[in-house]
Amino acid sequence: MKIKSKISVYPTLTLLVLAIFVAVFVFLFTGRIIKEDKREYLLTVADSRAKHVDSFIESTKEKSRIISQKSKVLESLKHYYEEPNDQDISIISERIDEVITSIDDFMGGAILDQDRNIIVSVSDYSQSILAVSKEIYESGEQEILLIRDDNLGLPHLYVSSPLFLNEEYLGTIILISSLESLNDIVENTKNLGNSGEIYLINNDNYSLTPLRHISGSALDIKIETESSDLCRTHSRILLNENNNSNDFAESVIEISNYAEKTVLSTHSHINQKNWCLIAEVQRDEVFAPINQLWWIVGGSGFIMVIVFMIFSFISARLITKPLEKLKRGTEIIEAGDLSHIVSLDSDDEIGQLSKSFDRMTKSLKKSQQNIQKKVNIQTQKLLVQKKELKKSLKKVEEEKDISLLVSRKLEATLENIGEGVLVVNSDKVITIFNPTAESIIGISKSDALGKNYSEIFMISEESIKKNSETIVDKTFRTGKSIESTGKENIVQKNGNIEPIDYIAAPVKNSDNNVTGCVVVFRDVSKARSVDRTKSEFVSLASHQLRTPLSSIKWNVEMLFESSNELSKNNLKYLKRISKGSERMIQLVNALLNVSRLELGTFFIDPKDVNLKSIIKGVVDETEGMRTIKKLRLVVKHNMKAKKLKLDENLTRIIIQNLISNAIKYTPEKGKIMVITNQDKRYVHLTISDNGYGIPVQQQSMLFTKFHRADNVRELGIEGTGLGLYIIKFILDASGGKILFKSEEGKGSDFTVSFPIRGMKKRIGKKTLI
Amino acid sequence: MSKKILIVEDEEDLRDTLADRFTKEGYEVLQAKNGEEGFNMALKEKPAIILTDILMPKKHGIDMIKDIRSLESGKSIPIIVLSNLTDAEYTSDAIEEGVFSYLVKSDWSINDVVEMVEKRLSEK
Repeated sequence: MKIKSKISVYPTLTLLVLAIFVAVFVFLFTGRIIKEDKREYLLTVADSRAKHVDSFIESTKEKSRIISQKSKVLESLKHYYEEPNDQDISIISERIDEVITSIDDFMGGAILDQDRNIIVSVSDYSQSILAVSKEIYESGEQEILLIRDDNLGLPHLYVSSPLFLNEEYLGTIILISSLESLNDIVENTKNLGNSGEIYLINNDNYSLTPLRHISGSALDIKIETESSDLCRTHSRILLNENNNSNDFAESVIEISNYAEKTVLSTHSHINQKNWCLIAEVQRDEVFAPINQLWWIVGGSGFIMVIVFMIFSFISARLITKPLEKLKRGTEIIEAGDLSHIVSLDSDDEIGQLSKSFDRMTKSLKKSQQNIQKKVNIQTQKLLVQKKELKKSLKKVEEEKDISLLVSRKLEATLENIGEGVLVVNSDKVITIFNPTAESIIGISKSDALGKNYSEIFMISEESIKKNSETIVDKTFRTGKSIESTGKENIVQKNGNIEPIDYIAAPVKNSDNNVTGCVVVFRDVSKARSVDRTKSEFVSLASHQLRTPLSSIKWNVEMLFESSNELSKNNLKYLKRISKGSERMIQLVNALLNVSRLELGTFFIDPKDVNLKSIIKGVVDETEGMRTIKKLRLVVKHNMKAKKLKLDENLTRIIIQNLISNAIKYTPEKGKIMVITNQDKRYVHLTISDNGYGIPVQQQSMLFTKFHRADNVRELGIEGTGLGLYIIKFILDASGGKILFKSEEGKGSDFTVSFPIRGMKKRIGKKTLI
Repeated sequence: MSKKILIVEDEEDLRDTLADRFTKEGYEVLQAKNGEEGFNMALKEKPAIILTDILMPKKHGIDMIKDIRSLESGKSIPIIVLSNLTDAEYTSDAIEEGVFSYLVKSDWSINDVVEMVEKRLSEK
């Protein structure tokens, strides 16, 4: 159970029990008091009314007796009896009328003689009086009777008194009175509430007065209740025992009355007439205040309980609200939000609790932040490490993949490559031997593996110099890749000899030591025969082309010798033929050179040569051409070296091409400079002209085969477009280089650089022309 | 006395052109259209100088030179190779056989050839 419920429910329940207890107590106690009070009151009322009725009867009798004792009346009556006359009658009537008029209730009266004859009558009640006179005359005493008179239709009181004068009986006076005074006495139900009732009954139990709650006049209703019975019994006791004790305190009883209602009832006996006066009040009315009280007490108790409940609930809320807040705070904090502050604005214990709780949270947060900070740092470190680990893992994976891929590729390559591959370890024992190697040498892999390479890979002695070291040994010794010269043959297992090309490359470890050697080789028998066929075709073609060209050239020459026999026009035509054949020869030569360069059949054979003399030779050769165009040529040597290892033929071709280009592409009277220079690595030969130059946009195409610059083609200058291509090719192959700078309309500078250590040697069959 | 020159050339046009030219220069021109004929003629006529092509039917120019050089009388005859082939093996072979000059036909004018022949003869 929650505190709120505890606080609100327990006291409420306690109060409720208390309230019920108080209510019941009050109800019982007060009920008793009221009931007692009512009882007492009822008895008092009954008693006083009865006395009232008693005195009323007494006074009425007294009034009649006063009249009966009036001497005037008695004397007049005596006189009348003695001597009847009207005067006496009128005196008597006046006197009686006097009395009647002076007393309200009396309505009329009459005096009867001893024989019950009416002597005097006041007012018109003679018949009624006569009717009751019999009853009155029987008692012979002063009497008061309450009788219904058939003439009047209503009961009236009749009071009689005997008339005596000096003990002589003269007759009886009977007065008739209304019941108003009696009714007034009985009907006075003051302090008996709405239901309270007092009724007077005669000895036959008929009500003498009208009833409050039942319509009907006096003597119409017979009242027979326990109270009336009790009254009769009471009266009998009083009469018989002559006991004057009136101790009937307990005579208030709870009974069912004439109207069948439960009432509190009491009675009082009127001795003179043996009448009973009964006073009763309805029980419900008597208890109404008690009920009311019950409602007041119960209701106020209930309201009190409710109000108390509300108050206790509110106060419980006032207490539990901050507690709730605190609880919620703990829940939030428990859920991990340490930034939560409960902050109860109160100075009571809960407020203090919340404050110390907040302080605790704060310090908890602080320590958590510290921890978080440390955790963050550690996490960051871990993340970085993870990242790095991931990275390196990935790298390892990649490398693994790559190496796997590489090894697979390598395997696949080795399996399918058109070249034979064998690998030897540091002991020169074969460790890899691929299928192509098997077919070239004619030895199976299983036979080859584990053997010394020299037992398997045997080069025929004819194709190499005697006692020279093998290329594998040379590779191990030098640590460099060694190529075959193109002339070697291999000895197959069956003894046959086949031409091969091969290359041996060292396998080095991280310390750059040779730990093995890879030999890649191929069967070049086909290649060599194709090569031969090609070169023969080119030779044949060149022969076939050159032979008719030579014929034309020589015969034109011979025609020129007899030019005096030719007409002017014919000589012109002959010159054109000569020019055409010369161009044709140049073109064929250039094409042959290109084909040789591209086929790789040309050789480079560097020897000690004098560059200056080669230049001089070329310059001399071109003198004729220069003379025609009136060109000036200056040669200037700044180079120091006297001899250079150059292929003379190729060097000549280079210089020839460059000088002839300068001549061709320089207009008449131009100047050509041939200058040599030297630095640590190269001898530079620069050939400059102040000719047409090369358009900038075409400079990048300069060394392209068949390319010719637009400006010189428009000028109609002939050329094959092969010269610079050939030069570049030769220089690239021989370790030299060529650079140029040019400006259209101003001229060009071409610089060829020959390495001082000499041209690279190259094995081949053909020279260039 | 006219000098005897043997021209060994399978191409008739070229052979005739050379013959015409040398005849004009006053040489007694002997002509052979292949190596075999050339060898026989050299053997028989003993020319002062031989001008020979290389690629020829029946007998190759180099073989013919070798054959001539194998003869005692042929050892000192100046031989000029006039070919359109520039293959190193041929040139080197020819030079090994004591050929003075190896001329590429199309590069040389006929006057140059005559000059070369006369130069060789005068050196003898």
